[in-house]
Amino acid sequence: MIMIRKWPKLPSMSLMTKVPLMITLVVFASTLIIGLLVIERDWNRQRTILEAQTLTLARATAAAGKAHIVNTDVWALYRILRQLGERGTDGAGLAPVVEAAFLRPDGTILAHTDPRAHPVGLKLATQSEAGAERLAQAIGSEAARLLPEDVRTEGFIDAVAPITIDGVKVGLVLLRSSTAGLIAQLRTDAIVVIAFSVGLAMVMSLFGTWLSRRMVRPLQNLADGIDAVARGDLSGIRNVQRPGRDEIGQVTRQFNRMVEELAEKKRLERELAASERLAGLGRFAAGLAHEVNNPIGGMMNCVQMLSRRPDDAELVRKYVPLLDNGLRSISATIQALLGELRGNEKRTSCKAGCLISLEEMVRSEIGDRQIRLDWVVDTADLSGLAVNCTCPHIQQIVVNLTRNAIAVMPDGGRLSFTSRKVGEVLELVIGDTGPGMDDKTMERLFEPFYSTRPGGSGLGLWITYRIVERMGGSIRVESRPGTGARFVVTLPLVAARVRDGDEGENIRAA
Amino acid sequence: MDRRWFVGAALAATGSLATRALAEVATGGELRIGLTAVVVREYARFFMDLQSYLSVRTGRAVSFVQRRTYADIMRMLGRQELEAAWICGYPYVQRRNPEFLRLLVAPVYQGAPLYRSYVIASASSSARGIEDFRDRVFAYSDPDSNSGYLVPRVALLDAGYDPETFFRFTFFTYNHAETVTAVADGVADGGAVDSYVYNVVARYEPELARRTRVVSASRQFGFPPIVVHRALEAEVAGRLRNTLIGMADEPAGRALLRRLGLDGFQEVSPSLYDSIRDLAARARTIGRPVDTL
Repeated sequence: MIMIRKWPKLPSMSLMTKVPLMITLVVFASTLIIGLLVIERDWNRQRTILEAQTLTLARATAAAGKAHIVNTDVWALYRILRQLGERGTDGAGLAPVVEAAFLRPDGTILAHTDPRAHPVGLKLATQSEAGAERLAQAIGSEAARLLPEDVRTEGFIDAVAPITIDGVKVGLVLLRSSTAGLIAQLRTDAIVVIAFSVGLAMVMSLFGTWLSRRMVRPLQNLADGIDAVARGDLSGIRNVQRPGRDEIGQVTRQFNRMVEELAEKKRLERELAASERLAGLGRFAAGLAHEVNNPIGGMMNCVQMLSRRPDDAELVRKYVPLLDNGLRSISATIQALLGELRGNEKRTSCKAGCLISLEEMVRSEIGDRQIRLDWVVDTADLSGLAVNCTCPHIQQIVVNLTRNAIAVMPDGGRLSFTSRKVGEVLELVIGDTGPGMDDKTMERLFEPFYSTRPGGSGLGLWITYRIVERMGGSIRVESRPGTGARFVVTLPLVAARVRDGDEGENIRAA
Repeated sequence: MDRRWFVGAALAATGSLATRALAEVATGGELRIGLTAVVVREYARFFMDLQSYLSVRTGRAVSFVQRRTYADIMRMLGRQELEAAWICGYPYVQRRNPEFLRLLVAPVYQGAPLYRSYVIASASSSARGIEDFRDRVFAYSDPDSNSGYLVPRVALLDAGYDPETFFRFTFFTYNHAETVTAVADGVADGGAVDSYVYNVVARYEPELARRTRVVSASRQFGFPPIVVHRALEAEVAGRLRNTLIGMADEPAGRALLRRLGLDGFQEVSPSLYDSIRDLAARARTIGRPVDTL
């Protein structure tokens, strides 16, 4: 568990750190392991060589001492041993003899490299019973051999070589060489290996840093580029340059292409939006011109007639009301546009209860048409809540939409109205079973002066749209040719204020 | 005694070389001079120099022949395999039948043809006399050496000890200089050496000598002499004697003597060795040492 908790630390590091660190660790570990393995192998090899040398030396010493043993020439024996010691220190690679002795088969010392501790003529002293047993085994050896290493002889190699004449054992050589030099050499080797590992690791960490920089920079550029694109800055593309041929390079190239395409798309969208705006403006101007031009044509006729015969009372009586009608028509159009465009009336909140009184208005609109009305107003969960507008406005929304619905069902049908709370909004749904609309119609549905009905002003839905928008709500239409239409209006709900006087202001503040 | 031979070292090997080199100057038969043991490398060159010096002066091809023991040298002399030898006073005084030796000259050391026997011990030893080495290991030089064998044994006899059992263990180094080494290394607790050789060792190997100290010194004895076989022509023997004696009188000879640490050579009377003869007679009452191992 602890391990699992510790691990996530690594992935949280930057690649710039992780890559050099891992390269360093891997290089250090592998160099160290290989080095130590080599040393271990070398140790075994050197130790084997040393053992062979020790044994050979014991044999040679025995051969050299044979004649002197017979003559009990202890000085000659001692000189042989002394030469062993001298040879061991000349660094010629021979076994470094630390101790050697010529013994009689009964263990009496004939010569010893340390004569003060092991005087001639005495039995070779041992430190312990085990040592004595070991010595007895050595003395009993029938052939030159290495003595088994034990705890007390650690660091040394002991060899024994019996000296026999005509099959009779007349003496023996005990020879001990030290592995200290070997160990010191291995220690030096180990230090060299460790130093080399550290050095190589340091070099490789530099290499790793360079490599990770090289590897990570494109990634970082890519990340920066993505960041910039996410912020909407498509110029960030310039940061990701000179992509290589590797995987990162491919990703970079694809990213660059994607950003280019995105930029192109945005540009096209902007152009499209601009042209649509101009087209909409054109349609608006055409609609307005049309609305105004119709009455103006009649009015200009009237004024012509009246100016030709200004004293004709009959004509005045007949044309002045016409002029009045024309001007009112124009005024109504302008008022409708101005009223919605101004949009600065004082607002109050409208409690959902005001919807209930609307049912009668709608029924009177239906009149004696063969239209069934499904009126569902769910006010149960609206207590204490209100929408951010005046009652006339919400009534206008409902009336406009239901009036349109009634108009598209001259031969009868079903009109439904549902009001309910959905989450934090009030949802009004007005459905009809009329002919429905195609996509093209739906696209322009809320434009001013757009109407599919002869004689329609084309301002109703536009005004509805503006009211809903100003209330912070939304309106959408769902329809297909032949399936009727469904207008869904959502209006945000706010907490209702108790005092009616400054209700509006409070709600705005809220 | 063997001391001179301690000097002798490598001559056996170098002898033949020198002989060949000197063949041109040699006018008669070869003059072979016996030495014992003590191969001290530093002295090989000296004996080569001495060999050529003697060859030129005597008109004979002089060669030095080294053997390990006095016994070897004496045997060779007896068989006339040598014309001359530098031997110890002890072999000189030993009875031979018939006598084949003639005393030629003796080296002069510190003003007289005399030397002593030293008992030496390790520098850290507290021994004050040979009696302090009871049950210890003792190194002799050669069983035919006066200073390195006869003197200490007779000293023990005089002190009332049996030299055969007095020491726990004894051995021969056949070389006074090596006796110094044996004592310095601790192989032997004590040893008997020629005073002249000990001083030469101290001069050439001060480190070695410093690890030992002289425990006691004997009275003076006749210095190991140069002897010739009686069969050697008197003229040749005389030329050799004169050459040796004349060394002190001219620079090349003096240089060689200086290297040897001797003052020169002089004729001596056989009676110079009477004191050794007495010791030998005394020693005959006891046997030779027997190896205990």
